[in-house]
Amino acid sequence: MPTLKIGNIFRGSRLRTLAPLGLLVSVLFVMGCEESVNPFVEEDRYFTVFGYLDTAAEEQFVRVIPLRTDFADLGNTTIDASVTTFEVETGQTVVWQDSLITYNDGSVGHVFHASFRPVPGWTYDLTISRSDGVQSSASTTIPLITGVELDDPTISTAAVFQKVRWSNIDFRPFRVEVWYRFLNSSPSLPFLMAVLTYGNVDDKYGQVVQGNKWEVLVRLTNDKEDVTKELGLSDSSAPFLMSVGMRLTMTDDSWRPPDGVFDREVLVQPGTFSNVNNGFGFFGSLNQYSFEWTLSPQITSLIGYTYPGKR
Amino acid sequence: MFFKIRTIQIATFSLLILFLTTTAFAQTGTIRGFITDASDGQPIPGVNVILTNPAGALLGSATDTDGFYAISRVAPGVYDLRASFVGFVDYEQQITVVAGQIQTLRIELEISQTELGEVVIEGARETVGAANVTAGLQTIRPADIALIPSPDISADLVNYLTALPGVVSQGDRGGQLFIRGGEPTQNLVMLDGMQVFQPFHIVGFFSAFPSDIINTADVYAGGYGSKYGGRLSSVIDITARTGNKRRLVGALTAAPFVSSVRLEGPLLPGKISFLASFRKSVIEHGASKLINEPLPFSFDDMFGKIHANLGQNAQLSISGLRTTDKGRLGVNPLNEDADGITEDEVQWENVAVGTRFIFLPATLPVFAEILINYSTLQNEFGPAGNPERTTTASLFSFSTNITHYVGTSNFNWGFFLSSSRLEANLGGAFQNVDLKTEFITEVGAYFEPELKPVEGLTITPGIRLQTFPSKSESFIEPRFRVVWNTGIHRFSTAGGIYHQEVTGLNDRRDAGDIFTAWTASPFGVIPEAKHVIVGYRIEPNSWLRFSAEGFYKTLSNLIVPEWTAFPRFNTNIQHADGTVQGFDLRIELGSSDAFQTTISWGRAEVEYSTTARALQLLTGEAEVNYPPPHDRKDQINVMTAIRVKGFNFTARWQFGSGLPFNESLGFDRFVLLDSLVSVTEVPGDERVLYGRPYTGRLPTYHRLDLSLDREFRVGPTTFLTVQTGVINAYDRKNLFYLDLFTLRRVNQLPLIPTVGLKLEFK
Repeated sequence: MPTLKIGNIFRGSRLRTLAPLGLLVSVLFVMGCEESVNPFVEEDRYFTVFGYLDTAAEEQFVRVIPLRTDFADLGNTTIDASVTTFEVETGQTVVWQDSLITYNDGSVGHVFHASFRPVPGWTYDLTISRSDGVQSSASTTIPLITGVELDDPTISTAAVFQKVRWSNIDFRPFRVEVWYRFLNSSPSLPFLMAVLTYGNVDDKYGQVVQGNKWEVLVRLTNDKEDVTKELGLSDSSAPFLMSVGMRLTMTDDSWRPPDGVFDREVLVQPGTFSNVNNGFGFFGSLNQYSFEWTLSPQITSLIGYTYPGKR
Repeated sequence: MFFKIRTIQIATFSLLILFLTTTAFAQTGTIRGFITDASDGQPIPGVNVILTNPAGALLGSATDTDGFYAISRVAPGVYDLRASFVGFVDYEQQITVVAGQIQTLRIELEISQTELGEVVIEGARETVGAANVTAGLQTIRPADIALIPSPDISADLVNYLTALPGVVSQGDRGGQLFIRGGEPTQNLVMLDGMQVFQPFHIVGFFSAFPSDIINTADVYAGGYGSKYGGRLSSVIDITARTGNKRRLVGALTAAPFVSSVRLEGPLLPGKISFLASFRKSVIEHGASKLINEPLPFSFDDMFGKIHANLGQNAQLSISGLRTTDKGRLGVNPLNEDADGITEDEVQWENVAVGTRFIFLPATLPVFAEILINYSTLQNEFGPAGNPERTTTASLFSFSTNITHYVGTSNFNWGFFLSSSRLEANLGGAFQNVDLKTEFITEVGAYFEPELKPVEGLTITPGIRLQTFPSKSESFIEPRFRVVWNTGIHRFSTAGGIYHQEVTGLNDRRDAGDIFTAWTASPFGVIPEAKHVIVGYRIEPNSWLRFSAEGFYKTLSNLIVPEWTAFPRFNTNIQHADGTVQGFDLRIELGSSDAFQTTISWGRAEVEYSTTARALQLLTGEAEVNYPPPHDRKDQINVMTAIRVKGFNFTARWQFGSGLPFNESLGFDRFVLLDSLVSVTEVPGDERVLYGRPYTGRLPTYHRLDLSLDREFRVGPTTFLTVQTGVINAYDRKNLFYLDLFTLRRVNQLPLIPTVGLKLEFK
């Protein structure tokens, strides 16, 4: 019986001829293989959050969007996220509830909500947790009212104005409202109020003065037309004016866009306007600063109303 | 007032040149003329023309693209004139040069016979060689193109171009070529002087220039001279053949990608000829069936030329070109067919007509050329029959180019005028640019002496006055080129300053989007580039050539899409600056007869920088640098051509390092909290979580193409060429495009066997 030796297998056999060809085929096969591409990088970021705490609201809302690598947002009805806020001053934790919202563009989103009214000056830590333990978080301190200065009315040939200055505000409020309170004849509703939103027009918003004060010019004379319209009165009517008031809706100190402008094309870039740790988006807070004052009989008459004490 | 001053300056300058050259020739004579192939009447570039006097002193010249030569400042006397070129019988004649006289001598070269007595017809036109590059200038002849395997049996210029180091294409489709870091719209491509806006077909193996119609192609990868302008990156100047002036010849080809017909012949034997070529793609019925994959592309091109010799001293040619392209690239899940291919269709059509008149004044050693051209482009993108974006560009141009021959030096000058009409409807893309109908005018002149102070040294300084009246801007653009041949060595350098007002806008974030909007540079600024190139070449013997070239470019005022996280095509425009630097190495072994191998390596780095506010905020850097999507760092090409017993075997292996792409963290929604936004009512916008631009690199690209063909004589003047080959021989899954939104991958062409037949009447 012939002895099988390993060396005999190769010596003078076809394998020696085929080996280089096999090597070439192998090389070509490997070269032809498809290289995979992963367009996504991994970082420690898990959720995008948009929302704010509002001292004027009983119910608070935040939109929570899990980061996804599938562009097609399937509008999942469930979300692997739990949301809590921790009230630093009291140590109290509030658990938020999920709600599924269908928007007018047909998309679906998760908005978490909780029933509490935040306290001015307090800090709230928001945490969004996933079942595997990863978290995104953000924090906000509710803005606190400081001081307000009221100048004497200014009487010009055409109109009467009065300046109101709010301390420690160096950025445009989200809303400036001026109200006029009038005496009403109905015992069930003793007062009527006409609330004008000054924030619709830029020059009525006010401006920063003295570095860190927000000054609003109340247009006492010019506002009468809007006031009577809102109350359903004729232009010539002169209701009894009790007081004038102003309310500023102000954002917290971190709610400031770069360069002071909310430019959508700039801020859409992730990270340009974000205070969320391990995530994206923005979580802030609002507070309303209110101040009410009375006018003298002379001024009240000058601007077209009736002083309450007049008979 | 502005025009009046410029006109006066140009006229004064012209008169001065005329006076100087006229004075110079009073005591000497000039010999000049055209050299053509006796068999078909076509010009032969590169013929050496030597004058030898009894004392042995030599004066010489070489024919240019038109087959024109001129030897001036020749002392009176008797000379032996010899014209010689490979593959042709040397022409010799004794001539007498008379002082103050200009002799025009038209020469016809006869094709040489082989030892067996067979007439060598095609082998006469030698290759220039891939390593024969001089400071960015590469001259290409049809024989060079034939060395590259191609699915078109008749070969196409674009296959040779993509084999050159420094020429980047994004794949085998799209028709976009990036030359040494420049964008496709920064390339000036001309055929017989006609500008072609988008000359490369949607399938990357084909262009508007089949090899059969080409006489020569000069490719300036940068550093081009004063004759050219209005583009930042490169010049591809193609001259078509004039057509056979002796007899009717032609060819028919058929292949899985494209079929073609060419016909040329005399309208008036020896004097007027025509050349006509038509190609049409058959991909959807040919190659698509071979690989059983949809290839939704179609294109065609047709070219026609009439050329007339108007006596010894004048020629007139009229050329016309039309190309059409249509196809569906990329991915759009919102609008796709059953095969998952986007229904969004891109299509474009080029039309160009032009006339060229050249004449040799009887009493001046001058070569003069007048060009009048008209070109248009229509480009559309969107659902078939209902495009979302359209652009139209049309250009009328008039130019003259004059060359004065003064001894061994030439003085080139000319002036030009062009008027463009640009119209764009972009359906919302490029939002901050108000595109409508624009009229752009460019006017100018140039002067470029070509000096040869000592043998082997050519110094070509130049100056170009480029004015853009629509922006009230004028630029003095200095140019230079120096070539020093010393023995087997050649040193070269070139450079200049360039401006471009008519520019193309593209959203390059999506490789599947090749739509280009042609427009005047917005924001009132004009993009500028500065080039410098340094090269070295050595040819120690007849079978070895080596060249190395380094280049550096600066780019300013470029128009790029503004960086945005909003997905797809809504984007603003912003400025960017850039730099391009790199080098090429090329080795060429063998000769064109039996064996030739070329190995080239191109290394380049392209970097853009921007001050886009969003990126400044993201990175904290005042100026953010990033590689644009055409920054391919390394390119290697290995090409081999072997001729054995009548069989021609060609192989090409090409390698490219990965192109940049945008990585992201994923997707979410963006809500702008600029007021008391209710998150229960405002849905927000889809957003892509991009970081820095183009931080990722796509996989490498490599492909092996093979081709084998043989020509058979089937009649006295009839030949049948059979070609077989394979594109992408090892079926490499090269990525063309990865859609970030669907993760759907579009690969480039797989292994495709090709077969072609060419029936030619010579």
